[in-house]
Amino acid sequence: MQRCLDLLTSGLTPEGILQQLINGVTLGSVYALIALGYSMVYGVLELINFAHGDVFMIGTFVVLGVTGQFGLTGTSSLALVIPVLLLAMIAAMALCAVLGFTIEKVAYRPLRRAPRLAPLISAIGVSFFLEAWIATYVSSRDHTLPNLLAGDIPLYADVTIRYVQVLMLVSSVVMMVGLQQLVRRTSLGRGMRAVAQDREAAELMGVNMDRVISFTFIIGSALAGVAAVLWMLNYSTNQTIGFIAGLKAFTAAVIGGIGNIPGAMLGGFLLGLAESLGAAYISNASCGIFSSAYEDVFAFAFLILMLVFRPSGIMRERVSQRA
Amino acid sequence: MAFKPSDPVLKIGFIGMLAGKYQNYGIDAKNGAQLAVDQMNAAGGVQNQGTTYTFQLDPVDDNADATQGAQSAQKLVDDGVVAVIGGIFSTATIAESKIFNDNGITQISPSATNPKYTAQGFKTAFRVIGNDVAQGHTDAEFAVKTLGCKNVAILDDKSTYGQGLADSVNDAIPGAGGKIVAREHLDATASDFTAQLTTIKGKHPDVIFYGGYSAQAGPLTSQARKLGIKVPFVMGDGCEDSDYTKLAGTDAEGAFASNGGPAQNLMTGFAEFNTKFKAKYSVDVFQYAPQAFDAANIIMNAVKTAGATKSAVLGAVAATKDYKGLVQSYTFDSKGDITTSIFTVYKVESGNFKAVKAVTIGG
Repeated sequence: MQRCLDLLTSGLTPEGILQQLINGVTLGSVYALIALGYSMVYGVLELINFAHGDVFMIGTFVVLGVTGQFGLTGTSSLALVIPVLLLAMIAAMALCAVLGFTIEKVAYRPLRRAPRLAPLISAIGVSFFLEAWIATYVSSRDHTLPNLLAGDIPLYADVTIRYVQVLMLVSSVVMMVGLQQLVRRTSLGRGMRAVAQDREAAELMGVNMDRVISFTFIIGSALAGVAAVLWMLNYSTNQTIGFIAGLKAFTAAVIGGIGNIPGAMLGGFLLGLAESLGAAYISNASCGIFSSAYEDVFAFAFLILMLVFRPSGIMRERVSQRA
Repeated sequence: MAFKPSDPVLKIGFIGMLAGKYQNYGIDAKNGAQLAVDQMNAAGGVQNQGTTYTFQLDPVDDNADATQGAQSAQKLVDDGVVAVIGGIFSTATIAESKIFNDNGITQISPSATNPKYTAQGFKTAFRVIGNDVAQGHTDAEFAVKTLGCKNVAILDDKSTYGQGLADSVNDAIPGAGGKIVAREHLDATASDFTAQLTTIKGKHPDVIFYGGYSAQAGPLTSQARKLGIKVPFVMGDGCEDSDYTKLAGTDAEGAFASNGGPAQNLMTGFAEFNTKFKAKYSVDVFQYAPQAFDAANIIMNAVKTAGATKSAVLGAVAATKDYKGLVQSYTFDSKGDITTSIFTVYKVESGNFKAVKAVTIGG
């Protein structure tokens, strides 16, 4: 028992906890950006777009390609790094948007009136196609960017927040607020809400449904392009990254309440925190029975509990409930 | 010596990756074995009780995969091989070893390091490289004694290889005089390892050992440096390659990784071997060709001592004692492991791994 108490408190320093919170929120901000794409498509079409994670993966390769063209290294000056990163972001957003638009046209639109399972299978097919295509024609190895935007801001004791982490947080929040405004205030957003509420009625009222759905895919995919840049500033990529990142983002969307934009964001942050704190403190909390090997067990147990006790997510989405 | 057309030609099997992602390793080893066979045939083969035997290598592909490995092993059995060189990676090699054991065929792996391969009680399983228990011992001694790092943090990727090697290090640290301050695991499919690294940082280790492959070790090293962890990394043979230095970039500088066998520039006779190898295959030796060359010679030497039946070869290979090969001198213990194994620790300097220390275990 004493050993258990010792374990509970050993390693529980304010510095450690603060650093883990920063880690978790940063990771969560990328999950959140990808989750927005899942959530928007689900809100409008009630389709889980399994290819979305792979659109994000293609985005990471676009970022690699653009930064590679300019030969960025860890010692490149900010005057070069910032414009190149902006260019990479625009390229990734554009390519992801075109890809998302095309996937919807080719793989989902012909199946819109088919049974619900058909577009889901089609989505899985697109996902496999994109992975195999990258592995065959681009690369099946792992890739990283050099350490760009190095440097950090000291917070407390030896806890720091890196510029990249600040950038990740700020961009994801800006994107979420922008998206929310778009859905609330523009005619396109009104169209999206209308289609989400009742597809037939919206069409009868003169909403151009095909256009609304296309735009939903374009916006969601462009956000995945932004996520791709932020991801590459911190992590590595290969052709299978879309599956895992997509799975985590989808989990975030479900936790937040799928179809709900602030919910997807909140879900992303919560999942990032659950993973970080889970990996760090599960050993303390379980008296050393579980190790950090149980990181994912912890994150997904959280999802199951969530689904059992609050199946519609934290931010319950009423709009998508139909007759 | 007269070479009669009626002299028997014995088939020796080779099993390993001959196509796909890891073909570099397999083709390299196959070429090493082929060179040994060609040299022996050019010298007139071997003689036993008045019969002259020459040899033919029979290569099959296992794609580093357990299922395909078992099928290809069966093909070698059907071809009537007298002994086999291979497999290359542990997972496939372990699957193949059962087929060869069932048929009483001697198998010598040039490169499979998982302890399980020779721990199944199979009389036919041998290897000419040190196993992961010995490698873990090497890494532990290196970290604690050579680098003088008393407090060790251990991290692995939960794979058969990575966790197995990390467990070996874990067991060897106290004996070397060190203390384990953290034991963490990461998920090889994840991209963010900062949670584990932050925990490790809080325990203030002097060195971090990582058991796993370079695909994760590269980003892991970069993330550690970004968190302000400055202590050195020590890793196993899964990370001693150009993928690691490429992925970690400048963060790779100063990292250590061990690998089986002596460094090529420290191997007596390697230069001459590489010249002949390059003349024949137009490429330099990549990794396990010297070990495969030695394995082939051990088998052919066994035919010379005991004759050409499967059981005679098995008996003679098992009795191998102080056989002087290209890489080292070999004696097999009762399990089929070598009694003396050599490891080399490499360090990243200016973007490349350079040998810094040779370690001999046992003997």
